[in-house]
Amino acid sequence: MTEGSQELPKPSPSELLVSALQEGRPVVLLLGQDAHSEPGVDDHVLAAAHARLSSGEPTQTGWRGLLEDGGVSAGFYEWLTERFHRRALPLHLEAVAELPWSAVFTSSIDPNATRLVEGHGREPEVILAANETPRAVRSRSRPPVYRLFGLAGSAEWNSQPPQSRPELNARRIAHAVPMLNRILDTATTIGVVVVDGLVPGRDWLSMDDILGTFGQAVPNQVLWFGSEPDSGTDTRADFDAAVESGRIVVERRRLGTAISELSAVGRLEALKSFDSQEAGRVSFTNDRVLELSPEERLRVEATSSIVDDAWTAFLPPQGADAEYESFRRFHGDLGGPRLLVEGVRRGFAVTREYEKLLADVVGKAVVDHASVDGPVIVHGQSGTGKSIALARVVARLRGAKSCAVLYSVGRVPQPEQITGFCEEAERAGAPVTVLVCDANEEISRYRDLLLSLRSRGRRVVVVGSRYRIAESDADRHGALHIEAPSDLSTTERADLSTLLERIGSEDVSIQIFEDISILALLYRLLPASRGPIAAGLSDEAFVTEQVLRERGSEAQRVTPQTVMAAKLLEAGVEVPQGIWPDRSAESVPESRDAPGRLIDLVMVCGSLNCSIPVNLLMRAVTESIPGTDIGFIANMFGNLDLFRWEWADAEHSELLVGPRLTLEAELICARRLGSPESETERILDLIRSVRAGGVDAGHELAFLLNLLNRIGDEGPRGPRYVEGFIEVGRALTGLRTRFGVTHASLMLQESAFRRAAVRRATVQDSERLSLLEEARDALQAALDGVDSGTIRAGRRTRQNLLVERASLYGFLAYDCAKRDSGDMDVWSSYMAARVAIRQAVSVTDTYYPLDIGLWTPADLLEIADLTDTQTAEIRADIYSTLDQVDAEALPPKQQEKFQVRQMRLGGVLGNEELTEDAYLRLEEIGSTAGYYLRAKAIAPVLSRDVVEMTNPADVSKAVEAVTFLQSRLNRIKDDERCLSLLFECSWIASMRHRAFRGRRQPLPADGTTRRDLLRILGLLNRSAGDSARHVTRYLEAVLLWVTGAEQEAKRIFAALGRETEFEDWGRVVRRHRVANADGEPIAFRGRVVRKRSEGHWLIRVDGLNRIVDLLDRDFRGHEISDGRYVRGFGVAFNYIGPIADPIERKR
Amino acid sequence: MSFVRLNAAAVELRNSLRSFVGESAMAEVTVAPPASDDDEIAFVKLVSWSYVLLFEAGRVAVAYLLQLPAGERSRVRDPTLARVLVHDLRTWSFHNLGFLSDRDREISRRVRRWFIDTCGDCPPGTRQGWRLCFLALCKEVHSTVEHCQGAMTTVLLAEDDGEASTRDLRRRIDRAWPAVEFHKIIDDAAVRLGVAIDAPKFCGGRLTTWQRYLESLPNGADLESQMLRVMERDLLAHAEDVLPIDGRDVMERLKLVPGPDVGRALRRAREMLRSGIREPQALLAALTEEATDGLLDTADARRERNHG
Repeated sequence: MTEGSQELPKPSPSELLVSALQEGRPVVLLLGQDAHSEPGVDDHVLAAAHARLSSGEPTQTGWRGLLEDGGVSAGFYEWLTERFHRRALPLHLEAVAELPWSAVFTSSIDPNATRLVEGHGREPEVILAANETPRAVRSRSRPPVYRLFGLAGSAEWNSQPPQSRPELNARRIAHAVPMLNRILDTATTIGVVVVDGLVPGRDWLSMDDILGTFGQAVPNQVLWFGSEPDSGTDTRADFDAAVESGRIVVERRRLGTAISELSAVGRLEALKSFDSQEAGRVSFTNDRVLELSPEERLRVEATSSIVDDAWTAFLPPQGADAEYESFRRFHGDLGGPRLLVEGVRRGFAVTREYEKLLADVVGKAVVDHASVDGPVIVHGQSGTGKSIALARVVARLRGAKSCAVLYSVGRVPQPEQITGFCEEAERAGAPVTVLVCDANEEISRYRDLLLSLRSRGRRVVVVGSRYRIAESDADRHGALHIEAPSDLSTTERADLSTLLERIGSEDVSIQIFEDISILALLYRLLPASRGPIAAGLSDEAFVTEQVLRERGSEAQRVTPQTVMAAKLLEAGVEVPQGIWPDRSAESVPESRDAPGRLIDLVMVCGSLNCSIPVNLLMRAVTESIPGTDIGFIANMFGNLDLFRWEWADAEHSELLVGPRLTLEAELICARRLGSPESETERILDLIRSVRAGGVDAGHELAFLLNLLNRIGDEGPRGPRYVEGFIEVGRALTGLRTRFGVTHASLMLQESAFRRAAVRRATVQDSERLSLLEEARDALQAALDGVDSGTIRAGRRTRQNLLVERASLYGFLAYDCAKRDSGDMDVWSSYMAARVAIRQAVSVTDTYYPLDIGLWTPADLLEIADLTDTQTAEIRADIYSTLDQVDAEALPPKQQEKFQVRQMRLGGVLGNEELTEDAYLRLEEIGSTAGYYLRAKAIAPVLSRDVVEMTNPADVSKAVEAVTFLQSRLNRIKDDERCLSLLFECSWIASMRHRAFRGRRQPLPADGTTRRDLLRILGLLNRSAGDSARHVTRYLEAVLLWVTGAEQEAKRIFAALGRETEFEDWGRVVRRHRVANADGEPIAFRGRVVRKRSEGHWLIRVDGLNRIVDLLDRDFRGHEISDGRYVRGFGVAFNYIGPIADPIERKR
Repeated sequence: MSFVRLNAAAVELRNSLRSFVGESAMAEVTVAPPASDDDEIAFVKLVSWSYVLLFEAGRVAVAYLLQLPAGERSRVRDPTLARVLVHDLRTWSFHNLGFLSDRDREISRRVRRWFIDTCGDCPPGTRQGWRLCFLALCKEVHSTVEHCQGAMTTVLLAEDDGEASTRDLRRRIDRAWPAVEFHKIIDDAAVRLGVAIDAPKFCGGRLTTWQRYLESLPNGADLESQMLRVMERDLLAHAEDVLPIDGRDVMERLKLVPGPDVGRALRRAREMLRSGIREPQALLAALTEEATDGLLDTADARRERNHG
């Protein structure tokens, strides 16, 4: 302490607890076995237990005494459980139950201890063994409760309490200590751990274990209420050292008493954030109400906020100061999505002109969601008011209660997570669910989400945000886009001026706003201590760094971390001090030391709009600079305006740190790091620090995937980091091989980054091959792991892995040809690529694997030295692939890609015809390519985007091609290309239209035709094996159904339904229907058998005597109920099976 | 389920509690019982009677016993539902429920739903309807009383730990001070500190938290002095924050129109009060002085600064 300065009084545990609660930091409870006891008054269950065992005086030995003298019998805990159930919660613990605990760790075996975190809508999750992990690491609404020594009355062997001392020790080592070790991670470095009811010497949890765990705590982190260890013991000395260092702060009163007093003097008001009473109701104008189950709510709120009635509730008026403070918070982005909406409702932001257009578009989409094919996107630079515009959409829609709204900030939810909500909302009367995603993501992600939900029949509108899209690109995304301009109009400036005048902001006048962008204006609205414009940001970062550095050294001088250090200091020895390592001797530039790196990491990721999980950030700094004490860093950040903290989700399960604004981060990076290479180095530091084992691993992985997505070519900063792609790929491999961070999506990225690097001309030939080999190893390991079940991956991830593998094999084949590796090598590489491509095509209906199937052979045609037969094979493959592309059904971006590819192929393929010589040679060596090319030349052109083939010339060509191929059926029966062509031509010959295109196409009426087509389709699907496409399997099922093999058809439909769920929006498209010989739909009638689910019925069709699905919404005006007779409907088919189809729908 | 049976069960519970726990374990219900069972008056009287039984006479004992298992008398029906229902019905019957607060809306919704589920109408429109509701409420309250009786037999009378549970309940009852005890302490404290208050009004919203604090104090604590400490703290905070002037005084003296400026001036007055200026006229004079010097943050002062 410096001379003249006065030592500030140490804060009491009660004060520390209140401030943690007020600031919303994690508060974790460690509850001992004596929670029910009071000084001098033993828990009467303990007393009864001792009396039963005749094991002496309970006050002396406590719960430990029960296991002395040989322990307890097997039936003892059953008896004890009954006593626990007969005991009411003590009054002082009732107060404890009122606090919003983030997690509870307890040595108590009382099953009722969980009641401490029940009620008020909370749903605790009990963790009984060290190998269990909770769904949410820390959560106020579903706090995990770690039962360190198991649970009395448990039937599971690994959660039963110990019956003897050896068992106690075994349980302690195997479960109690590993679980206890999670406590600081759970609290995070800014949270607190509150200890109560833990009497040293009486508890099964030993003080050595507790003090060992708390050895890593930061000052003022452990708040110890109640009894301390007895004096004169070693434990007491260690405890005193922890208290002396400030890690443990002691209050002798029991926690319940302290909380009751705080409550009595009004210090705990409005802290019960778990109180869910105001949430949960989503009402609509039609007096219908959606009330979600807690499970559904939790599932949805993991990624999106449910905008319930509380969001639009009456806003109490604020005084001028409070209003100004709210205004500052709103513009400082200090709240979550809800505060953003509240700020908009309070009129803290002007309505920009483009918002009117946005409101119109969204309004129309709500009235008729089907009129909007793609997502509605607001795009523009940072700081142009996109988030506010989206928040206003939320406020408007729910203000009018016209629909259900989900609001997601910073991420695009998975369809599985929200489809249940949409369904519930529709049942409750919502005409549509609007999903507002302020995530600045790729438009394709919004589009995938929309289509995926619609594939399930959900009525959904997606409104998203995106950084500015170039005008030339604006029309090709299949979305409605509305640009947020970066300049303010005169009206907007005037509105802003009026707003500021109303709020009473100082030193603001209209003149200031002339000729400046809205971003600069927003800077003006941020707190005055912040640099007003971008030029000041770098200075601010520098000052912050200095503050961090100074705090780091001061904090350590006050409290030496170890007893040894304290003793050395006392003895006058110079002990190296400071949180940050002393690197002065090494002449390390300041910007390279820990505080500087910390700022760099936050800003580099911030410039990519990624906030970093705080534990990962700390790890990255300490791993880069060994010796740094992470605990102290938490204290470093207090009141530093440069950073923004946010919770990763509504559960407060992880804290993220980011910059104030993305633009600020970009500017600071430019000044501090200066080059993409330096930024890449920082990114690599972070990647290398991710670990799979920590309690926050899920958030770290999510962060990493997000970061990887953003540093890619298509990220917000374009190809800025492309020079580091090889290192990024290798860093990911290092994570997997060295640290066990094994995740299918990351392994996909291992390959993707290497492949992206290989595309660049600067990569040497020798390195290119080794990179591709590394990528292949990663992919193969991923696919093997997924198939064997050792790596978990969703269907989409597996598809991506297969597509990536196809792409990689294509690359390898091309590379092989380019290096002139010899005919055999090139051809075998191509064959491997072809198999990989077919597998990829079979699992997804997107264009991407087909594109690989086009460019791989096309590139080989261009550069490889191929034989005639090989050339013919490759040409056959290209044509066959072209025939598979249904360009009409592709999203616009993929359509465009296909058009470009077709043009390039035109140049490669030319119009070369297969000569008789070549045909004969192919036939001689048993290749079917010759048959295919010959039939192709005979057949009508199939690559056109047409559905009907009514031209007699086309039909006769189809008949001729069928005759040609049928006569060689024995030879082509294993060739997919030929069989596919044969089927297409056969269908055209019979039906006069394309088999797989269009909607509600008539099925052949004639049984012989149906069976002939089915036979070819069967051969086609058998020859493809696992690579059979969805659409061919679908049509096989349809033909089986209409030819009488209903069970077999059902089996295929069921498999297709499962495989395409959430993946293929076309699965609900009604592609074919039962028709008569004229192609007109046959009208059926039938009786409703039963309700399958809400709005979904089964009907037995007269005449066919088959049961098909029927949807309420298809038969509006009909009253559908059990036993009801419905007339005049058709039978159509989609991937899920047959379905009653109103004939009126006929165009 | 008739009221006669309910009343008999309640008397039995009271007698048991008095026998085993003590005279003060459960008070008599002295409100008039319903005289019939098929009209609105009878129903409202039953609500009042039930409320007194569950929330006043049995405030501590019923709440305690509901936490305990009832052994063989346990019913499938949740015994705690009656307390929620009776509370809702009483609020609905005797208070003017607004529709602006979520809580009011929720209570109204629950009560209406209960009436409709019970008799198909809300409120019941016929004698038969009222009778159905009367009997249903009797049944609900009876299940709670039955549970409490069961818990008494199972837990309080248990051989090995029954005595400890009884002691626990007795302790809770001893700590359940009536409001008048708190009024007495706060009156004494107010006289001692020279603060003028209306004790019942002052205690009103604070009683629950004081009560909880009292209950949480450890055995052997000096309850009265601990309570006094907390209550004096509240009293001082209250005294420090009560402004002797209001918005009208400020508007009149400073010639302000209603708006944020009045709030700012009052906030400034509160700061002055805390700094020691306690007389109304002195406060108004100090505010006027600051306003004249342009130190008070008002629209006029800001305009003046901008022009200056």
